[in-house]
Amino acid sequence: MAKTILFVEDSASVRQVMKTALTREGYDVILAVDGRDALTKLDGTKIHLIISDVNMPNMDGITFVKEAKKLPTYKFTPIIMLTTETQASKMAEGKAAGVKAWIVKPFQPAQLMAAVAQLVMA
Amino acid sequence: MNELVKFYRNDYGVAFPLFISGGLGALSLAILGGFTMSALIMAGGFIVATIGLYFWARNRYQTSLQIVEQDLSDRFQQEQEQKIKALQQTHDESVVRVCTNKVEIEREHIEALLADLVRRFDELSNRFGGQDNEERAATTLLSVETYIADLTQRFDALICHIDSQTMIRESQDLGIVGLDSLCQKVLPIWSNQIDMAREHTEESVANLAQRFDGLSQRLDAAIIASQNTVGSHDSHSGIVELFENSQLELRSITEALSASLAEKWEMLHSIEALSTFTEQLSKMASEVSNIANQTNLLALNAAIQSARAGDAGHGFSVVADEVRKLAHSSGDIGRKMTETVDSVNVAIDDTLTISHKFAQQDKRTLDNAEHIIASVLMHFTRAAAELADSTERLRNENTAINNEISDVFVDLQFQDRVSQILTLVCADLKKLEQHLDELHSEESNGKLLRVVNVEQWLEELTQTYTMKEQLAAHEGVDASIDTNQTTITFF
Repeated sequence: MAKTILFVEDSASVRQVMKTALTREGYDVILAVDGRDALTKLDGTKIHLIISDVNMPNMDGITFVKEAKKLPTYKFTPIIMLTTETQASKMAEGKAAGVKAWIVKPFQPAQLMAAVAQLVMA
Repeated sequence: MNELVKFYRNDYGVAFPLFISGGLGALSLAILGGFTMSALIMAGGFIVATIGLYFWARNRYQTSLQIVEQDLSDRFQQEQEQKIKALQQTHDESVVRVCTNKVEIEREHIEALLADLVRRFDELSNRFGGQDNEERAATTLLSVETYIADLTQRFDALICHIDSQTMIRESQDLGIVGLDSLCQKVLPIWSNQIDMAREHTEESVANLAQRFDGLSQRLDAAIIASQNTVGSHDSHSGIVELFENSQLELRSITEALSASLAEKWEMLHSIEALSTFTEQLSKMASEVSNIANQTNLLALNAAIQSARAGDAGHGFSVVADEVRKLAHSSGDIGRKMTETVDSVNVAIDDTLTISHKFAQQDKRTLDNAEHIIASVLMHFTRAAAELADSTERLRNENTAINNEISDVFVDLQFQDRVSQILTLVCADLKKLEQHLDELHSEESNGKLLRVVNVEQWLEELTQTYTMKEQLAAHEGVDASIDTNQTTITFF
């Protein structure tokens, strides 16, 4: 059975690229345009991994992670931050919120997929 | 005390003792009289007398009370007036003393402030370069009025100087007059243009990514279809397997034709063997003819001998005639047999000739067919091999194209980075626009114009950066992005 991944990103192009890359690897992909939209997708559906951007309108990625971790169903769901943000303070904030990995754009699909597979299987 | 005065002013002090004593007296009279009618009448009269006594006493009490209150009031008023006069006198004296002290203190404070103001004014004059400070510093100022008069004079001089300097500066800056207004109008337009370009780019790049994905999927489907059509040497489907099966079936057909041709040659050999039998038959027919001739001669001799014998040989001559007839018949049969055998020989020869011709033609046809089939199969095999090679090349090309598409996906992420950079530029343009609006508003309200703190502005802009490349560009350093290596940090 295919694993399900929730991808949160405000950029339409990156959403399309990631959807293509993840679908080619055999994952089911749920897309959300920002943190607020992503919270509405956490409706009890089994999600094996969450990949989120940091800087987004309405609700940023770190706030979304904190809110997601409050939900019992998704408390232990691994989360990857996929962002252009390289500030150490932001990374520390993400780590404190419960993020498992921090990936800086631009990314090589193959290397990203390896990290995704590692966390999905964990 | 007030409650007590109120109590007495309401006559309760008179009424209570009278009514209690009257009630007790009436009760005593009734008891002592044994509650007889006369005793009760006396008690009632006692009560009436008590009530009358109450009203008389009340009247007297209130009159005397008014006299006492009036007296007390007069005396209290006189005492209060004396106290107020004394207090007022004391208060006036202390107020005058305090105010004098305060005025002195305030005067000293104002003099200090004015001295500071003069000092600051000197600094300001220095900055505008319009006053002689040393001469002013040497002046001794003795009073506030002197300070103020001096300051007024110097302010007037400074304003004149600033006006003249402003006129000079305006004339110097004539080339950029209206720059603020231009910025106020053009900055929102620039922001809108950048936003529009960013949105168009994002939409186009998303479509581009979707199309690349579609191309990749179609290519994959074409490769799979080609593989299914061509097949491979180790699989049991596809055109290669079809060719191999066809080759086997055609080979079995040519083998069957070869076998049939061989049988036909055997049949021809059998027919050729028949010709030897016809020669024997021809010899036998000749021998029959010879026997018939010899028998005829023998019958002729017998007839001659019977004629010599006369009547005794008449019977023998009949037999000789019959024998001669049989000899003729045998000779006819022998001739017919010879003719028949000759006909058979001719027919067999004709058949052999035609059969040889057909057999040779069949052999050539079979040889030709085998040659054509071999050639066709060779062409098909070569075509299948080329097709398989093409499929393999297509598969390799597909792998290369997928790698290229993967690289394209990396490059397409530039849009996200560009979008973030443009968003920050737009935000800074809007910030500048708002700042200019505020400055314009303050200028309209007659307030002093604030000076733009450029260093603070640039520092705040730096704080908004999320990528190290932005910071490098801000500092004018070349910032190359390594797209071959993804930065991944696991926590």
